[in-house]
Amino acid sequence: MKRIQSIQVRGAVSGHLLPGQLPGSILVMNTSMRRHLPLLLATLAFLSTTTVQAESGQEAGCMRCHSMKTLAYLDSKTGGVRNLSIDPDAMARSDHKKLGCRSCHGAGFEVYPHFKEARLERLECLNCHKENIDFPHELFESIERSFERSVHFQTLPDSFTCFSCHDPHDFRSLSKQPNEELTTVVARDNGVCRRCHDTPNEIYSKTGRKFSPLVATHAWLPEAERHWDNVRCVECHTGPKSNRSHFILGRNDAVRACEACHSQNSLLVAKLYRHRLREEKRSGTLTNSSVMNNAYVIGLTRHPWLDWGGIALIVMTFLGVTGHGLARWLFTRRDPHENHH
Amino acid sequence: MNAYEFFQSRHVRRVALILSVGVGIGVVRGLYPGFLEHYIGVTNGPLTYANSVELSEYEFKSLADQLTYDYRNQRALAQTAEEEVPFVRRLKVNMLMKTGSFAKGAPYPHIQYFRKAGIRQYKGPETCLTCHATIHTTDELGKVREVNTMADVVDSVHFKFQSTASGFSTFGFDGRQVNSAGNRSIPVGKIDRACGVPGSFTWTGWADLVKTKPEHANGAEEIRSEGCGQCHIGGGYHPATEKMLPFHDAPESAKAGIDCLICHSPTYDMNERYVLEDLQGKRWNQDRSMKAALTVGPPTNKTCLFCHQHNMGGDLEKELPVGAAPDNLGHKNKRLLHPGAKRGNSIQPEHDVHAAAGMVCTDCHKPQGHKIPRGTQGVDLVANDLPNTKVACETCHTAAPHVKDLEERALLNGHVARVSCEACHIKKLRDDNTVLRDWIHPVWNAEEGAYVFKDVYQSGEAGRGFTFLWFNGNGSFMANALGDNPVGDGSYNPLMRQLVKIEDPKAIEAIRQAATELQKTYPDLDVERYVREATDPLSALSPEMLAKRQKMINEKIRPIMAQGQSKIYPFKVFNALMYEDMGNQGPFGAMILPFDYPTYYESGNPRASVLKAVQHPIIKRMYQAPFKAYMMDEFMRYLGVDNWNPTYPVSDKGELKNVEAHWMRQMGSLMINHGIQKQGRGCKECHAKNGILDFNALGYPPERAAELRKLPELQ
Repeated sequence: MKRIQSIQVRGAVSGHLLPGQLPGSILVMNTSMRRHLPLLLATLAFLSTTTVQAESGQEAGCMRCHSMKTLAYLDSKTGGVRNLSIDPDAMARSDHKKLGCRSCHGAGFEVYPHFKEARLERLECLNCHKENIDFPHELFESIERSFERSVHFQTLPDSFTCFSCHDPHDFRSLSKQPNEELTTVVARDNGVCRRCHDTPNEIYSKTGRKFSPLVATHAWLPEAERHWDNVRCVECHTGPKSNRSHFILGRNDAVRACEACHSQNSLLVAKLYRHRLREEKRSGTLTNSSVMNNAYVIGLTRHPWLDWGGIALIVMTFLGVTGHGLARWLFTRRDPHENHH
Repeated sequence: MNAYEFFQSRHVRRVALILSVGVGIGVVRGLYPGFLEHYIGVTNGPLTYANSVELSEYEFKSLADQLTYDYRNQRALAQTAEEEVPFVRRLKVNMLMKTGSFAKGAPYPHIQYFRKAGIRQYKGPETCLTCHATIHTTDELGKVREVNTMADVVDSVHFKFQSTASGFSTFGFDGRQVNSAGNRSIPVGKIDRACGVPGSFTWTGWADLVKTKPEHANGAEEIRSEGCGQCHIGGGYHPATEKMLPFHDAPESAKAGIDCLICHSPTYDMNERYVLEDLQGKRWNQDRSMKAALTVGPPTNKTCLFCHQHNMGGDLEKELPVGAAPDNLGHKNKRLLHPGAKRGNSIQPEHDVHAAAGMVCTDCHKPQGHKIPRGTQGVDLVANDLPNTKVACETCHTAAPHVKDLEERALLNGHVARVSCEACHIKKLRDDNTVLRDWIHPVWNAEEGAYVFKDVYQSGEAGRGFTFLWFNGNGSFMANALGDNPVGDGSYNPLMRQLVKIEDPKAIEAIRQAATELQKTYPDLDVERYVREATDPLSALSPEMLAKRQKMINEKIRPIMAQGQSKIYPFKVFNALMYEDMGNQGPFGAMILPFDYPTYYESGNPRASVLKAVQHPIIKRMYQAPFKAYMMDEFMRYLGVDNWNPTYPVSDKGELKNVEAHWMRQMGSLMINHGIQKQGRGCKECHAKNGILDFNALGYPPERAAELRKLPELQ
């Protein structure tokens, strides 16, 4: 099959014309340019529209093949399935939904079959995320630092990348789905880990290392399945501070002490409430609803006053009901005598 | 103490009650089988086989030596196959046969077992059960269980060929899954094929002797064998009837007639498989020789094909391995061949990549004891012993099966989501694959010396002999593949389009030609009308019936089509012109009536043949109240008819009443999964203007269909 050009060629400024860059680039223009500002702006506006067009045409071209659910091949290096399929619906929901394919994927991909050189392309999340003023610089700095200390990077510095866990075509930040059920979030999040760690063959084909199955490595953990359904792996397998979720700890360093979570000053509950509180602040609802909603369950909030309040409520209800019943019994006992007279 | 006082005692009353219940059960158990035999008109009795003889020590030893010699000789010949000079080859063979290590292998372990156990006669199952009273079965999860061998066999589809259990992937036209939980279970097997003796009627055609007058015999009569029993392992005078009736098991005599060796012995002589007649009636003989018994082992391709050749390459396939069924029709009363292939997908090594790789049937159809899986999908009503056990390409070939072509592999694998492996890797069926069969205009076959059905249209080509349909694993009660286009516009409707209309001009022309030929024998035949009815079977329906059909499809069938994940599969299409009981007609067909084989073949009078067959006691019973309540009402509801009309289709004068000949209202679609070719189809076989896939008929929106026909990548 001869190589064919994709439907539209990439726009000249595509991939660089990110919204946040526009004002900044105007500021650095010299005075002679400022004189031609209206013209320049018009040109830019024109270019940006053509870019969008190019991109959407481009998209359709790429997705003709890449939306096939089973677009994949068996990788001769690993023996595992290399999936090339992109779910258009997931992409449309993802944080990267506004980006065109070619914003990230460079030369060689505009034709089919793709150029061999294109297959050598190595993308890095941080190329965009660290250098871009749209994103909190420190956050990504810190993610990079934690990642480099993580057990994954330490063991496989060459082959373990962001993409080993995060599929950029499906990536959604956890903080952007405040309405999702916690168990759904947990299942999706743990799915990322379990994709490799629950399939020892997958790990073996990728790293040549033989891993024990999860059930064996977590044999010490009571109710392991229930933990996995309700708690994210990273809760135990990261350091104690919340932003360190990329600092993945290996089996020897992960939290093993039950009381780290199952205690009054719980690590997990602290993390959970911090997360919930942040979400509620963002959504502008009652900031303490997550605490108040569970307040009647004694012990759940780890707040002694609320617990005492709950106990008092129960005791008073009990007293009230018995007192009322006793009173009724006493009074009805007298009635028949009165009728008799 | 009088009797009244005697029964006043509480203890005596209890004992009497228990005694009477016990005696009652005994009487019922003793009399019930006899009553049922009488009721449905079948006979049972002790079965004897002439070839089951006791060998002397000398005969045993010489047979054992001969078998061992033959086996080693075959191996030596195979090993020296490349030696071109015959004399040198013979010398090499002789040397090998005398070489100690080569001669050491014990080819048939049962020679040694029989010798030690003193077994000198093969008496059928009882001999096998001497050692194999129980066997260990392993299910797909690896769980091992010990089961009673006889019970395991008797409960298998190979013996009873029907099932009352749930697990059918078939749905009634009333929207209910056949025999699913919550519905009353009825015995169902292969009953939705337009065969001469459709499955539920095996009584009327179990074992028959047909008088023929072949050309080569110069007017002399030749007796031929015919009937369903030739391919079922029960050896009695009727099928495993008892397993179909309530609270009943096969009698011991029928169990003793089970033919273990036809599956387990590669040296089984198919020439022993013919109909014999004794005092009790007609039944199928079997090979119970010590030769066959001494060579037993697990089933091989050869033994499976003793029966399944018929639905693979068919009875007319040539160059089959030595011993194949179509080449060994019987030492006497030779079996009649069935021309016109049922599926026309050969499993011989030159036509099937798996057979060529030396694989055996049981590699994919991995048995669990005597239950053999046929996969989780199925469009027909064939009973399935292991409905939850997968038989799938993916099990071995992974989800990314295309490996070699580095440039195209990902794109080819991309097709796997929508297109089945078979769609590309079965490119053609045999030319004698039957599409349309006319049972009511028999023609004289001089070579066989009998009147035979007429295959009006045969083709092995895509779009003619088989078509492409969406399939999610479900089938209709009349064997139609169900599924839907996952990105379709809702227009996909095979029960009103692909399966009810033959539109291909080449096919129509061939049908017209066949009809013109038939006209020579049947001068009254209106060719144009014949072609219209054969290519548009819905023309038999009244406008009201047609409207009801469309309504039922929309309301009951569409939800089943929408289930699961559909892919495009190839389906062999088949229709037949048969006699139907019009009192039991619905929008999807009527009750097909069976033929009596001897009358059909000998007289060429199909009406007389049907009349004879419906007078069989079981058919009469079918039209009476107990059978109506037991299964027929439920059966008809699946067929899309409210109730079974028990009006017997024979008048008081003894003539057929309310019986008409019609094509089934839609073609049946049979799965084809064998005859797999290594090289699949190229892009342009489908993605072209006249490609083999009709994207519009498959329910793609018009613009997408146009695009699929003209992909920019292929320009």
